[in-house]
Amino acid sequence: MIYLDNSATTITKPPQVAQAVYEAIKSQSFGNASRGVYDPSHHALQELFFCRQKVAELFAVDDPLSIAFTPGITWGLNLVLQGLFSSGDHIITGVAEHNSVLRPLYQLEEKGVELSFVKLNHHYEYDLSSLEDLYQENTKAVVLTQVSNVTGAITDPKKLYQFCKKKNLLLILDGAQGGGSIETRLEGDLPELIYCFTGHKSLYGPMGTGGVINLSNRSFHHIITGGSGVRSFDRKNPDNFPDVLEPGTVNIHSLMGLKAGVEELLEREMIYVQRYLNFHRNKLYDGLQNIKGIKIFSPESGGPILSFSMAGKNSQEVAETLYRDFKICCRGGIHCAPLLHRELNTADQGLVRLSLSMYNRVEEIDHALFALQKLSKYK
Amino acid sequence: MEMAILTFDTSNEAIKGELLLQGKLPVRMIPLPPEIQSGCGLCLRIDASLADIRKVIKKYSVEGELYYVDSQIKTTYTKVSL
Repeated sequence: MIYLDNSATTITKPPQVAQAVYEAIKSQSFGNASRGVYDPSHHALQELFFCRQKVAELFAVDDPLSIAFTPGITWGLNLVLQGLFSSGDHIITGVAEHNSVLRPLYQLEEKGVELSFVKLNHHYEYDLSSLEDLYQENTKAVVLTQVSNVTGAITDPKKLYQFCKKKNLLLILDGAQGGGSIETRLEGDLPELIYCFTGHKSLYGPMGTGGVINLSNRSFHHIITGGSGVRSFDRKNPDNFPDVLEPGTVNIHSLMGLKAGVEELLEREMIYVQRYLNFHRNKLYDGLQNIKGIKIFSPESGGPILSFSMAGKNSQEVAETLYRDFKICCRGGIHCAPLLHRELNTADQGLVRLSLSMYNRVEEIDHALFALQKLSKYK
Repeated sequence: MEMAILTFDTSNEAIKGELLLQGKLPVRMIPLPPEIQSGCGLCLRIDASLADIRKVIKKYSVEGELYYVDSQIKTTYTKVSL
């Protein structure tokens, strides 16, 4: 089997990820963090901090306590968007956004938040020159993806930073596809920035992990409340970050797996990981270009994602045939990015998406291209 | 031996403080004494002189509230500057 649906989730993980989760449970040394000074609770609190340290190192963030862990990026985006904006605010977002951004924003829209959408240029990238035109007096934030989950197009961070800084806007980046697949250093001349990430894709951690990196001075409204282990007589959870986004028991067992995944990336170094992914993406892109009937809907360079259509064939059928006849796992259809499919005129037949991880090999790319070549001749 | 208590707003800040001070001062995490009203449920007990504590805290930019502990007759906690 060849697995090319790594944008959905990576299924090949560093072996130490599973080992770390197993050991976290088997060792019987992880209590509930922040519930006492006895060893298992103290150990959990300490290991949780070490996990924050590793994520901070990966993203070049100074303070590990800028990182809150959430049960995934969907949770993180919801907690951030629902926790920061209210009626009368205006948010600039874009047509390439995933539903994990769009749907919380639509919920806000129902509460009186205004939305505007950045469109794409001819390279499938966001046309950031339109930001000035979309700006309003009540604009509070720009919310965009770092890497499109459909086209792989990368949003130029420098232009975003400059614009948000100039207008004093909060920038919220959806790092679901970018974190761990392109080198991301959240340092330098940044605007107020919130970066949301997931653990189970290119950070190679378990599902149910993710988080929010908060490099802003914003105060979050509590969306989910519950136990905190401290200040039990208070009517609400602590306001401090990261506690404000971490009510209840933190998923420490899985976070030990995430830490192992991040350590693997640090060991390999992101610059080389990205280079490896680029090499395979380029090979795939070049190969797809030479198959008759295929139209690529991705820029020539980008994150490790390529989408395409095949003349006369529905994308779901292509994906199903690729698995049935060639044991290639990939995704067809609509990729949770409805506005993008409308923009690309692919709302009816959808797109076939191939997405890579650092465990894909060149022979797998060759085999996928061979399969698509054959499939293109199916009647 | 002099002793002090360093309190924090949250347990995440407490563990960060403990890790920053470990190896530089004799420090261990203990439950917050009931006499101290501020801070989360955890704090750091530091067995060192106030002068030494202040020097290290400043050097490693540890944030919190410092209490001098006097145990000679009855244990009392006096908030002091960092």
